[in-house]
Amino acid sequence: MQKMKRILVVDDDAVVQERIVALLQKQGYQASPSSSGEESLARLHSESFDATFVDVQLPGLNGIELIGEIHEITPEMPVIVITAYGSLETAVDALRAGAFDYLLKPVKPHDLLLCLERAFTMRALEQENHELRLALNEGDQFGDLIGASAAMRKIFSMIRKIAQSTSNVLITGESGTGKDVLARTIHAERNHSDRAYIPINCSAIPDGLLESELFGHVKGAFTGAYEHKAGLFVEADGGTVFLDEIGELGWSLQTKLLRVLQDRAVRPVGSTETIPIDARIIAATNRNLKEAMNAGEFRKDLFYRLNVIPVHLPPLRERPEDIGPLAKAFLLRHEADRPRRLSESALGVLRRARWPGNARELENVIERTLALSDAEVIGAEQLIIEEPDADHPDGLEQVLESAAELETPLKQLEALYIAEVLRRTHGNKMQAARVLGVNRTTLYRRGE
Amino acid sequence: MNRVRRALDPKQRSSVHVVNEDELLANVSGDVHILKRLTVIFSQSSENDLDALRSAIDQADLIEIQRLSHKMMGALGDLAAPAALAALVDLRARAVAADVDALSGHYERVRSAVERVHEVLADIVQARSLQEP
Repeated sequence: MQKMKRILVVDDDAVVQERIVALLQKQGYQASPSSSGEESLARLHSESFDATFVDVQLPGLNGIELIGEIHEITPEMPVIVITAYGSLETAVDALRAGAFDYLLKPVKPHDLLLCLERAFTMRALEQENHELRLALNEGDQFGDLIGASAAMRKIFSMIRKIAQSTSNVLITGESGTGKDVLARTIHAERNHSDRAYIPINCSAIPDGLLESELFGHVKGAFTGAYEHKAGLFVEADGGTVFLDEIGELGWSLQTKLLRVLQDRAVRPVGSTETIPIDARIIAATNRNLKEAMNAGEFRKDLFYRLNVIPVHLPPLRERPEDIGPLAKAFLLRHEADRPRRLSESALGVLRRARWPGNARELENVIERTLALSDAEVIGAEQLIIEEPDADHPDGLEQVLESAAELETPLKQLEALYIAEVLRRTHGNKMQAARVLGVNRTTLYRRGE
Repeated sequence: MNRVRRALDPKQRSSVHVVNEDELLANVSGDVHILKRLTVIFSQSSENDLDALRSAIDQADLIEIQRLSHKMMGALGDLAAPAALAALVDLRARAVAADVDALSGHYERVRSAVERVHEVLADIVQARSLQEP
């Protein structure tokens, strides 16, 4: 059975309100009345609606201001404005503010329903368009990798080509950028999951044990080697071995790994024989391996063997366009049975955060917020983001540092200060405008 | 019964000017139940609005007069009540022009027009209820 569409009707007059609600209910919509902008915003924060009718003249927050606030909470929802007696100027203001359309009072039932149907048709087309783009892989996702930034799109376009080859891949990027996800995506694209994907963290296992894990051992090779073990390279058998934290591998094991990569064969611990391997090697590190080579900590020949296809995952702070799609995916991952939304102000806060722990930290924030908040629409105030520590100066310190250099243009300083005030007011533009002593329009203009 | 007859007799009822019945029914998609609900709501809300309007006029609060007039105009538009609507448009225009002296006179015209709307609405509802199967 199709879900009943929910419509919010915001008008301060009880007769107008009741008539629209009753006409909509008669047509099978689930319509609810609201008498003020403030009340409607509170409801939109806690409930989901498919469309909203808004009277222009409301006590307190007026209809035009309300459109902006509604779109902060739920940007995709169509807002239809009801305006009195052909005030074209007001109607134009409403459309500029983002209204889907406007209706003149007294609203004719036919016009009311037609306008609503048009809004839903338009919304469905937009949705369909979005899904088609996703299907064409021009969207925000490739396998489990998510991102809308140019950097991620470039990586998406590389994945198919990488998957077709058998060359070694070296993925670099800060901790939490999704190196393992990228490795799994490359593997899945090549093998369609019918071959093994074997991830191993080189920093988590002592070198002696790691050697046996990777290359295998024969029975009696060392104390405790009660049985023959094949080793992960052999077990992969046409699949992928993902060597995470390769930069932490000890020198001796680096030498042995180099030999495996050169010979495409392993010699199990305690054995004199070599076993050929058929495994794709993907390595990853958050270290600068060139620096490690110069410091004599990483073998140059191993680096060049691994770095046949280099892929760099930039930190999240350098690709804020990815934060929205990632946050939405994490919301779905952690509460698929009860999908919730982030308000525009919450997304703004997430986009401005520094994310030293990258996507992993973002996922933690989303998971923590979902656990501690019941809101249907998560606002900026519900997000629980850890404050930056002393090693990472906060935004205001950054502004002051830039000013002290006496080389930063005023416009740039102003932009930094506005961004910091917005961060501290959790993206609340009204509050930020008050702090800055400017009106909201000026804030928008200067913030652009 | 007298009222019902009056409502059914177009000659005795100069009601088109008070409430345009055809337009009113079109506004509720011909649904008498919606019409009844609106009539009840209007009888309550208009009393409150008129009292608030009187109080705003006594205090010469021109902004509040404009706001309340606008609010009532919305309801009277929905109820297809052109005479009361026109009276409110005049009152609002007086408030916009800050013609404080004229406000009380205009208010009385509004009150009387709204009372007529109540009467005619009651007639229409009663007549339509009798016609229902």
